[in-house]
Amino acid sequence: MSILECRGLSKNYGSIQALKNIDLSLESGRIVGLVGPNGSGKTTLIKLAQHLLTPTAGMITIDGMLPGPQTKAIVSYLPDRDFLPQWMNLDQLTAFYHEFFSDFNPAKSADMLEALGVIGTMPLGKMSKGTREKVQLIFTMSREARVYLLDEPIAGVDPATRDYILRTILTNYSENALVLISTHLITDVEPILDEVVFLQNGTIALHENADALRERTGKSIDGYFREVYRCF
Amino acid sequence: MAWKFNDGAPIYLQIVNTLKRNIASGAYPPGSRLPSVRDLALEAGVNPNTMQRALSELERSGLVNSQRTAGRFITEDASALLDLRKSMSEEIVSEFIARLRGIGMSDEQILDTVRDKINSEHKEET
Amino acid sequence: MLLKLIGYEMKAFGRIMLPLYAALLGFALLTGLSIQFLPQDFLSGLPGILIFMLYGILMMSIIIMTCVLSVTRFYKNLLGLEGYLMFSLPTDTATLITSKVLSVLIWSMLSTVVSFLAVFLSALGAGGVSIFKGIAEIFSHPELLEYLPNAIGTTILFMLMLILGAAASIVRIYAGIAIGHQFNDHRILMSIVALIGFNMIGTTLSTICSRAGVYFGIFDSFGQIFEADTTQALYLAQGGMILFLLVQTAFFGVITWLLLDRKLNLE
Repeated sequence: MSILECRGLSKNYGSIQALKNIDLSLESGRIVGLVGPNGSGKTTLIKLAQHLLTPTAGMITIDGMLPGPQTKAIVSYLPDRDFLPQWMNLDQLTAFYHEFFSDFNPAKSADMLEALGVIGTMPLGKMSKGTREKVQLIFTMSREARVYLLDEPIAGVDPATRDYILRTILTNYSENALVLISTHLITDVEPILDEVVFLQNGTIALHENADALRERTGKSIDGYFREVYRCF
Repeated sequence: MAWKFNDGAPIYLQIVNTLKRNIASGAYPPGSRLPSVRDLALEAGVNPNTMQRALSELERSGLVNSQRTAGRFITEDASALLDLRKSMSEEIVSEFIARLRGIGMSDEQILDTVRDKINSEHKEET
Repeated sequence: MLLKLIGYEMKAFGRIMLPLYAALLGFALLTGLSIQFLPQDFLSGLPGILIFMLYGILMMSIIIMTCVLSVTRFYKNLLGLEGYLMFSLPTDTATLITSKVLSVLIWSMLSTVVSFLAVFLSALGAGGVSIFKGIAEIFSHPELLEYLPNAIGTTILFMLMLILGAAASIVRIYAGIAIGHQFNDHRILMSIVALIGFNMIGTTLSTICSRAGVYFGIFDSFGQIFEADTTQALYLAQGGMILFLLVQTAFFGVITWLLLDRKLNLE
């Protein structure tokens, strides 16, 4: 059942231990928050899942496979950067995704772009930052992937864009897919989460059902972490 | 757009309460079909699994019936609806009484105030 | 997937190179026609000089842009922010690198062909049809045809050498960039340092090899072959060179692959 699994996963950058012996198992049909302060290892974990980094020790598997061409075919990844070719316009980008990702659904992206009023032949580089972020999310969510890795999708966006992004994630919810959202802004994503994985100094401090955590602590997840870990 | 949630309580319980209020008020009339889990989750801005859990809770309490293919319907059982309203009023009233006692009102005074208020509203209507 | 990736490089290069090609060919024709139809002292006049200069600048830009794009398409597209997208495609690192190298080879060849075509066009414009007569004349001497088979053979090998030589240099530059990218700061500077390092190692190795060649008498035996059968010696030299370039390409290819696959360090 578990679609993303880490066993004894460690990653060092020189003498710095970014991840220390992580064991984690995440299932399909869940929206999971990967939370923790800056530098806690969130991005490192996501990059390891996408083979942008290789583990120092242990392993990470997606649908039972080590990260590679086969896993990339079923993983849709949204980095926390402007990762799309800035010279492309929407048509060129659609053609690119259609050509390279067999799970890309052009009707879906067309619908979302239209709903957002993003049209025309302007290259990405000429769009406003907010629009570009929406376009990146739309293309990421328009793949019918098994795993979505969203790295800080709502950091630094205005409230309207944030609502749009969260709504898009919910609209595209699928029982067959895992959505892993890394963020240090817990309050905003709290209602859409099934589970929370809390990273601190490269270890998993907590992995629990989101509502169970609220019930157990009588606090919001954000409030709980602020109090217990004195972070954020 | 999305529903508002308080910090302390689990989100599924807060959804259950909102749905119960909507059923009691008639916003979801008896016998009417509830939107799908997906649509409700989207409306509330919550995870579909959380919404699912809230709806299961409502099914367990008999306020909602699930029909395999057709979806979920609000119960037409008048006594279940009456029970719902009673239990909700109990909550509201006990909170109301506690607050009035908190500002030093005696039980007699509370009853008088309520009666007077209702009477004066009736007069205004006629 | 390799073909798709190359197709994507065709678009990325083409949007810059194709307009340049069109402009160059246009100016080549214009230059030729101006020489033929404008007064004799045309080239000493300002408009003539301007056209000629533009022609020259365009020719230079094509050479420079081909080189610049060969490097930046690798540097920016794989190791820059776009790397997040490229390394998320359902393919492996080796295919990504191969697609870049092959695309650069294709565009280098296209640029070469277009440059020759430009020279040809300007000559055609200037001299009209008479130029073809000269070419036809070469083939009118039957005794020259005797040399044709060997000439074709060495020419093909020579072309292969050129292509492999280009491939080896490109992959060497990529390996340098991949090493420079291991550092968190001064990546471009460190890439250049790495390339200088490669050069020094290369020079040292070739010195050692030539000394060894003299020592073991390889040059002498080659000299004997050369005297006995020049054609055979030529093939042997070309074959050796091709083998050497293949090894070099493979060596730098593996370095690049290892660094990009195991030690990727995206910003």
